[in-house]
Amino acid sequence: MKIAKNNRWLRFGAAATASVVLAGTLFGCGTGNDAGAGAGGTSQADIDAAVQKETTLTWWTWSDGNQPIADAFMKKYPKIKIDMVKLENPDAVVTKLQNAVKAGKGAPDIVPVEYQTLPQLTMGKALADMTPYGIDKYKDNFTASTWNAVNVGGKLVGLPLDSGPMVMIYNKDLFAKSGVTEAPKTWDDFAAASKKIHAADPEAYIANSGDAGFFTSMMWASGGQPFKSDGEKITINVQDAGSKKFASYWNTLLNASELSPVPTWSDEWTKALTQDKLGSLLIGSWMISGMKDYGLGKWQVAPMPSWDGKGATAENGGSSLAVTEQSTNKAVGAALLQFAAEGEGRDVINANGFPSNTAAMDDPTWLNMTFPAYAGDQKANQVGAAAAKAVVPGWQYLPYQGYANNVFADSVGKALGNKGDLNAALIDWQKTLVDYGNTQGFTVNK
Amino acid sequence: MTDATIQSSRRAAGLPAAVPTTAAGEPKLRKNKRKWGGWWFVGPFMIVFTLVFVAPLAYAIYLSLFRETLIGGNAFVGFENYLTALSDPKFWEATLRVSLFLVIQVPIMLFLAMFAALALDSARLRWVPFYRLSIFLPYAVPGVVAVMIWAYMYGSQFGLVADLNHFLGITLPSPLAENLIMISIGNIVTWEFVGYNMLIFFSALKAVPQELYEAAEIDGAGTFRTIWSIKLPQIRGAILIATLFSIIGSFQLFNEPSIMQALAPNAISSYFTPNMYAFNLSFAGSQFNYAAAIAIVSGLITMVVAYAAQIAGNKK
Repeated sequence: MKIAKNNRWLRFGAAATASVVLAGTLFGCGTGNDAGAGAGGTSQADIDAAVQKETTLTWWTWSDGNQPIADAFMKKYPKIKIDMVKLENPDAVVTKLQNAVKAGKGAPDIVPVEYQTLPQLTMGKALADMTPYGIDKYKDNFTASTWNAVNVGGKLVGLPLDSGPMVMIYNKDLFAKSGVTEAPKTWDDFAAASKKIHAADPEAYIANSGDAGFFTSMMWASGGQPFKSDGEKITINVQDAGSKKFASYWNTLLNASELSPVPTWSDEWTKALTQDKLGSLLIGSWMISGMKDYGLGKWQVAPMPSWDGKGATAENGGSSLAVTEQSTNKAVGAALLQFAAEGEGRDVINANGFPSNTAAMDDPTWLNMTFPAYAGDQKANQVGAAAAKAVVPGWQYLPYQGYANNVFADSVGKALGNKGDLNAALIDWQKTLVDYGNTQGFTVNK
Repeated sequence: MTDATIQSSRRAAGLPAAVPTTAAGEPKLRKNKRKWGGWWFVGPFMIVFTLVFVAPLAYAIYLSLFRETLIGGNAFVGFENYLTALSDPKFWEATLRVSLFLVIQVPIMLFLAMFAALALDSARLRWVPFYRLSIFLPYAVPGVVAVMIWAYMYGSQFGLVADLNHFLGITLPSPLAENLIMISIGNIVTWEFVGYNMLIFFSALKAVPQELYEAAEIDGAGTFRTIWSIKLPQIRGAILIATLFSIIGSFQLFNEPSIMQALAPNAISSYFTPNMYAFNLSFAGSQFNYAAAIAIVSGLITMVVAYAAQIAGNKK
């Protein structure tokens, strides 16, 4: 009797589950079935219905560039109110979001997420998979590397916002004064230019020693793939050919005391740039529009130097727009992503940072834009657009990249500070990352 | 409290003596009343104390007995986190670093504070309130601002150190390099807290009975003899308090190195002090449980050291 009863319940449960799955599939296909309207539905009709209801979205951000997007969205859908909460930096947003996930409540609806933290937040179940809402149809609107970054382990967890294909922004005046007349094309040229600059003025350097984000991007641009993850299985090898090539090269400049010790974004770094003591930035293209703060008419954007002179670069920074798993307004979130993916919303995004969408990169107005920071009215965006096409494919970040960057200074940073052995320090870093991954339940290098 | 003491204290307070009770049931009732009435006075404190002290501590201890991982969820691990902490070289390196800080920076700071307090108390200075305020002022400067001020001075590329190098034609070692960073931080902390400790000492000195000085003068004691034999012994309690605060402050060192990290990222590691280690473990590494264990072990070490200092201070 008892067993039979249990069986009946089991069977009922299975049937119920099956019907839910089936319903989910139907809505997911976007059939526009009206029966699916409501908070849980994911069809286009559900999204359209959701934006016509009085709803307040919470949006955490660190960037001033998000407000215009929110304003434009609220203008289009007057029933939607967006509460923008500004935190000091990307790390603060990640920390706060992870705390909310741990607490089980308190997360916002919308967050911008840096590409490098997407795997970490996806693994931590902080972000919603937007595939059921049909957001995957915008694939062709974006550059390959940014679209690749928002697809984590088969889930579409965000929409690319801005991007950072790496370029070299250099001080043309300082280069010329030191006898470097054209932008270095290869890393050998770059090293030669470094010597000349430091010889002409012992207080001037071609670059500063850099931080974790810089280092990983440089490994990427050199063809390194130190992190490989497939679900819970991770392989870390910071000594693969590309990574090692870059570390050894950087070590040569470091040991020759040709790298400035000023930390990126510090006050001293700003002074070094404005006072012509720091010759170049190897940095994401989002910096193109920001150089006006460091002097006018003296900068120039060039493609990143490469090993063979044929051009190879990486992404450095940049962020996506994501809907959180805790959000009860995912359909409105989906509407926001749709808004940001094309048309008016996209134009707002393009006006507030270096875009990730291909439409902007083919747009003559955007491509021919000039900036007061650059000498000779250089059409700087063209260099950035070309860089977006030269990003080396196949890069992956760790599902705990935030932690990795946090402990980077303990080993590699220390070596950068003491002019030590960068490859040995990288191996130290790897050891910490392997241990951490294994204690966190991943299978690392096993 | 016995009945007798209550009666005597009532008399002392000028209240009429309570009527002595004779019936058997009555005193018991009164006793109960007295017992619960007290809670109205300590209750608000106890509630706040429980909420902001006992509860977080209990929660931290509870957390420290589990291990939640990114994959695999949460599991009870007993004292495993504590065993890991006790054999964690990073934790001990951090503890050793703050211990060194304690034995070097704290005596210097307290000596300077004592010197300032005695100078202000010597009655040989004019404008005492002005000096008192000037020395105390750094304490009123928010920590972040203080570090920014000092960071400018420490800057070896564009700061004061760079200017000195240019002016004198020399190359000073960078105060933000790994080998000097601890001294640089100690300097900031000393600057910040000398005034605070000075104020503790100064107010204690003000409370020394004037008769002692008169007696000392009659006995023919000079200034230094008065300091040594009267002032210092009289304010021993204040010295002990300041020392205990400083011990706790050293072990909890966090703000200064944490802010300085933006300026010297390669010299200040993620486990520079026990507090920074716990902070980075939990907020960068999501290892809340292990961080809780680190925090509790570090708290226990602080308690033991502070208690030892208190016993040593009370013995003399």
